[in-house]
Amino acid sequence: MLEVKNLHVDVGGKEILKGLSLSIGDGEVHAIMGPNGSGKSTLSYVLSGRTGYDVTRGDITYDGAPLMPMLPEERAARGIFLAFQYPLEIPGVSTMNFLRTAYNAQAKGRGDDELDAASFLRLVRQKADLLNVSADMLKRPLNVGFSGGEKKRNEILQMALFEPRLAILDETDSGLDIDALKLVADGVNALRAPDRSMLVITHYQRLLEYIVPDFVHVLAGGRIIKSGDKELALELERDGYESIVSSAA
Amino acid sequence: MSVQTAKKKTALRVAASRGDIERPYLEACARVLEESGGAPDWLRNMRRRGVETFKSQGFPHRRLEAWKYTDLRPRMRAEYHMPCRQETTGYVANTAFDGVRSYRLVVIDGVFEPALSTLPQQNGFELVTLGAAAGALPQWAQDLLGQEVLFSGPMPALAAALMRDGLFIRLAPGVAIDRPLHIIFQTSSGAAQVHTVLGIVLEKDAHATLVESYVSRNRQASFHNQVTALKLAEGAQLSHIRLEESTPENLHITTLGARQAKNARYTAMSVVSGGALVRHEADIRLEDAGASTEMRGVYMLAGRQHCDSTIVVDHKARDCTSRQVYQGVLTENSRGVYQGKVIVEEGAGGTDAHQLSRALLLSARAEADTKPELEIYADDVKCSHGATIGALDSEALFYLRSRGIPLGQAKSLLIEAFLDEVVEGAVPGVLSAPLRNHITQWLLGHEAEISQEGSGA
Repeated sequence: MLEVKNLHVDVGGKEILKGLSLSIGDGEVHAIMGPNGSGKSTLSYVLSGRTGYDVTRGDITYDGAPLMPMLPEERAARGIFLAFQYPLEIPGVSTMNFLRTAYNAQAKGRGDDELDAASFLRLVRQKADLLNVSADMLKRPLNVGFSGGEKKRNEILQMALFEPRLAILDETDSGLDIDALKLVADGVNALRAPDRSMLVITHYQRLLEYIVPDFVHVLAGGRIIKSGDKELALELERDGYESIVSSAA
Repeated sequence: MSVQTAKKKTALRVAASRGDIERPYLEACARVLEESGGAPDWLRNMRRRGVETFKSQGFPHRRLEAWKYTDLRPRMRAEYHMPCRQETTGYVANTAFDGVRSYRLVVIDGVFEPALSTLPQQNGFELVTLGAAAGALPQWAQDLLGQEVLFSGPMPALAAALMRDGLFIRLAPGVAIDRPLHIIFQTSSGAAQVHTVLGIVLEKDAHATLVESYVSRNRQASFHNQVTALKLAEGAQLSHIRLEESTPENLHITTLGARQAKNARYTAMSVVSGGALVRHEADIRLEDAGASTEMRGVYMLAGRQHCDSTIVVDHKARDCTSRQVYQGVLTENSRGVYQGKVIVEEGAGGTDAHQLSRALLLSARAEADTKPELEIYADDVKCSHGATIGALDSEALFYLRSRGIPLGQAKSLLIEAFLDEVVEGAVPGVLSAPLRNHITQWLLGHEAEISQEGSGA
């Protein structure tokens, strides 16, 4: 589904990704772990199409098509979803209004029918209940005044609603306590499917006990220096990034 | 031609323009004075005073501090005819508030049309017009015409001199009008100059909601010059909404003067999306303790439109409150100006005054000019002002796009939220939906201007 080959990315004139290669097949859950500044968020932003991230070399193929020419809204319509590490607060735009606008925009982008307000409301309520997102939260302006946990649940609600083919979870565990983490992880796990892949970006191994990955990659110095299965995460936890980085050097 | 000759030609042209532009207007003033032979003295004196004031000052120019961002003089060169008194066809253009149950007062080319209007039938509501009263105006209306605002500058003075008709409304003590009073100012004649005077008195504890719609029947550039004099007695409350919906060719100058007594409350909202050049000038005087005023404005401009909001709020007494909030969206080559002044006079302790002006620039050629001023001569006051001019938040735009919302639509969503901040909760319930709808319609109609290259994310 996703093929990243020798990706070099500049951010603000500085090279952050220095030849990253990664291959994600259908239904697979990949974890990317790495020390701070290694380029984890850069990877997620490049995949979702944010400006300011310049690909200087390498290519990315998504479902066989080149990803780079696609606008962020096109990528979303084609099933790429990024759960932000720091979800934005947008005052004046209600959560419900935002969800409906996004859902219908994606449908339109795919050439599907848009949902009428009543049907959409039913759909959202159903998904929201599973994630403990209250009707009150849906009425409030997007993420405004939401706690960290509520913001992350809102991201997962969106994931449940948009049913992406490739979900990128950017440090979804940051700022969450165990209970919040469990709730979010349950939501994510409920979305695992043979035609859905996930890229879980995390700093700590803890999240991966709840969202168990098929593959684990260590990102350091802008490249993937080691790959393995979930055991690699436990190794990192035990030995720290230092040892893996130096042994791979 | 040589440089010397070119310079001489320019000098001659400049010299000729001073006074040149005013001449046709002074000629019109002379004609009106001549024809008003049968009018009562107070009216003739008022017109004369208007003419003298206009003559001595001439049209405003950019070297005047209050007009520094709005170059009016060259625009007055255009020919604007006096509208002819024609048979009214009864056609009234659509306005955003047509669906609201209201009392409609229709003014066409500056003349009140009773046949097209519906008035409140309750005791305590009075409407008199200059035309109908043939000079026999009640004292309260004459007093309004004597208010300082009429002679505060050349533009209102010109309106005093040239007005064809004047509308005067009075609410007796304790009277509350159950529906909004909707005044529709329509320009029907092409390329006309329309001078209007509107006077409103709310006696003690009277309440009213006033809505003004400015609409045009045609696309020819007209010049609408209006003076509004407001007097709010103790405890009176006026909610005042103005919507500029006229064509993008019109020139529209309004000068408003309000005097508020003890605990009087004046909340105003102006929404500008029409006109080539619109200037709303307001001089609000809080004359007794506990008076409060909220001046809010929203402007949405494209092309070469120019909107200028110049507000002065004078705290003359203790414990008065004032708010000024002006937010606008500027696309293409448009220009938004906000000049907001707060004066806190000696003895006006307990003043609570705030100003906020925010402009969204959606094109590299758009311009916003903001000039907040505070003149404080008292202690124990709370005054603040904030001004921001910038582009849309690129983070927010990316977030929306990453959820599938295309760039143009994402921008509209954020712009709507931005403008809604000013409108939400600030207008009486029945007017909220039509106003919001007007804003939404503008956004839908200007998708191309909003999505312009180089305006974000």
